[in-house]
Amino acid sequence: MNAMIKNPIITTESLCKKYGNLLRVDHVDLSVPQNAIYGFLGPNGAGKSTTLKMILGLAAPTRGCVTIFGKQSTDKNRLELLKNIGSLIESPSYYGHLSGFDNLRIAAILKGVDEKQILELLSIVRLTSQKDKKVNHYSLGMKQRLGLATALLGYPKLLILDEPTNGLDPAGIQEMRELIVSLPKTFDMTVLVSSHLLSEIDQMADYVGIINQGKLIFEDSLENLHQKSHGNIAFRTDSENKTIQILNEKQISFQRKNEYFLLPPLTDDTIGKLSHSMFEQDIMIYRIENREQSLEDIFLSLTGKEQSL
Amino acid sequence: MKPFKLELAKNRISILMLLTFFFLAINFVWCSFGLRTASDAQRQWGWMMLLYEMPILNAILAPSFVAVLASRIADVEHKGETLKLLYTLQSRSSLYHAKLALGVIFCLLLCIGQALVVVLTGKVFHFEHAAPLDKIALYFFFSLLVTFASYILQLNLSLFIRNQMVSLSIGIIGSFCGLFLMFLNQYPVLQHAVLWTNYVTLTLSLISEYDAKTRYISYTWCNVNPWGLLSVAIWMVVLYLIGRRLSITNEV
Repeated sequence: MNAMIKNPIITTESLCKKYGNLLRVDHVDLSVPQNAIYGFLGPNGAGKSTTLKMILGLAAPTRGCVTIFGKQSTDKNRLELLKNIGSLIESPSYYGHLSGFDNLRIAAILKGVDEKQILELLSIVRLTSQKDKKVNHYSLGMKQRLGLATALLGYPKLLILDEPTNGLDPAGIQEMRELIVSLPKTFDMTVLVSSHLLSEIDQMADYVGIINQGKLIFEDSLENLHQKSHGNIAFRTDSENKTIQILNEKQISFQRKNEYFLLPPLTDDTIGKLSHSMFEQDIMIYRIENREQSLEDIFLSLTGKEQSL
Repeated sequence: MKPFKLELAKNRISILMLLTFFFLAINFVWCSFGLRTASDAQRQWGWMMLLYEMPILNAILAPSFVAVLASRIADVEHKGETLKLLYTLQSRSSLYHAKLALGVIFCLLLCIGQALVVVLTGKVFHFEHAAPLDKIALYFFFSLLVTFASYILQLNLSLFIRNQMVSLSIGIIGSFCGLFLMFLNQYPVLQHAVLWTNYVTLTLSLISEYDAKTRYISYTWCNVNPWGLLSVAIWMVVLYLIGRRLSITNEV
C-alpha cells in the first residue's frame, strides 16, 4: 500500500508493539516526507499513539526499527536525534503550579535554547498576556497552545503532534489547525500529526498514513487518496423489476440503496444505450446522478469502522 | 547539575522544607513531653532516654514522612503528564538521579535536624552530663542510612506507580511493620530483613532494662549492630539498582 517517498525524514521498518498477547502495532512501515504535513489517521485504539511513542523512544518496539534524519534510532543516539524534534503526545505536559513562562523556561533549559525565544513563542501561540498565570488556571485550549509552544522551542526540524485538537472547542480547533498548517512554510518544519478525524487531516495534511488495528493500510499523498474516490452512477426508475432485468441483460453490476440503483463508473456511450433500452421498455427514469465517493467513504472502506467516525 | 537545578525549580521546595520542619517539631514536642515530668534522677539518664526514644519515634513516623516526601517529588511529574516530555529532553537516568539527589538532601536535613533536636532538648532540660557526641553522631549516621534506603524505596514506588495511594500506603504499613517487629527480638533475621525495623535495630545504641518492682528503667550503651548495617546496605543497593533499571525501561 505504501508509495515510495523520496528523502523521508522518518521511516519505520516492520515496527511492532505487543502488549501481553495483543499486537497493538503490527509491522508498520511508515515513511514521512520532509517539509510536509503528514497526517497519521486511524480510529481510536488503532495504534497511532503507540507508533508515535515508539518513534520518540517513549515506548520500546517489540520488533522493528525507527530511522530519523537518516540515522537508526538507538538508546545511545536517541536524545541526540530528538534534539531536532518537538513533540506533543496525547495531552500537554505542564507543571500546574508554575506559570506558563516558567514551564517554557524549564523546557528551554533542557533543550539548551535561549530564554529569549520563550517570549517569541508565547506570542506565536498567543499566550503573551497569560504568561505569568499559573498553568492550573489555564483553559484546556491554553494548555494545548502552551504544549505546542513547548514543542516549538528551538524550532525543531520535525514536530510530532498526537491528536493536538483533542478537547478543544471549534474555535480552538480552527486556531490550532491554522497554526499547524503555517509551520512548514514559516519555520521550514515537517509536521507529523495524528488524528482520528478525517476532516481534520483532510484540511491540514499533504500526505496521509492510515492505520487500523495496528496495521498501516494506506500511505500516500492526500491527492492520491482523493483520486481513489471513484464515483458511482445513481439512478431511480418507476419499475424496479424491469430495470433489474435490463441491467442483468447488459451484465452491468449494481447495488440497491434507498430506491436508487448504484452502478460503477460507465462511459457516456454505455449510459446512453442503457437509457435508450429503458425508454424502449417504457421505464420512466426519474433521476440520474453522478455520485462522488467521499473521503469518509474511502476511509470506511479501508478501515471498515463506521463507529469511530 | 542541570537536572538537579531543574528539580529545585519544579518542586515546591518551601512545602518540602515545611514538611521537614513539621516533622522535626513533632520530634521536639515528643521528647519534651516525655521529659517534662522527669525527676532530677531520671534526667541523669537524659541523653540515654533521648537516644532511646528517637529511634522508636523514627520507626513510627519516619516511613510516613519519607513516603510523603517521595510522593511530592515524584507526583509533580504525574500530575502534569510531564514524563513523556522529559524523556524526550533528558536521559531517563538523569531524571531519576536528580530526584534521588533532591530527596537525599531532605533526608540529610531531617537527620541533621534530629541530631540537633537531641542536643537542643538536652540544653533546654539542662542535662547534667555533656552531650555524648559520638553516640549522637552514630545515631545520625545510622538513621540517615535507613532514611536513604526508605527514600529510594518510596521514590521507586511513587515514580513508577502513578497512583500515589500505593506508595503512601506502603509507607504507613512500613511504620506498623517496623514498630511491630521491634518487639520480636526472638526473630533477629526477620527484624533485619524488614527495612523499617532497622530504624530501631540499627540506630538504637542502647538497651533498656525495666525493673517491675522498682518501676525503674536503666539504660546501657551497646555495640553497633553489624547485621543491621549489612541489611540496610543491601536494601540500598538493591533498591537503587531496581530504580535505575525501572527508570530506563519505564514506558509512558
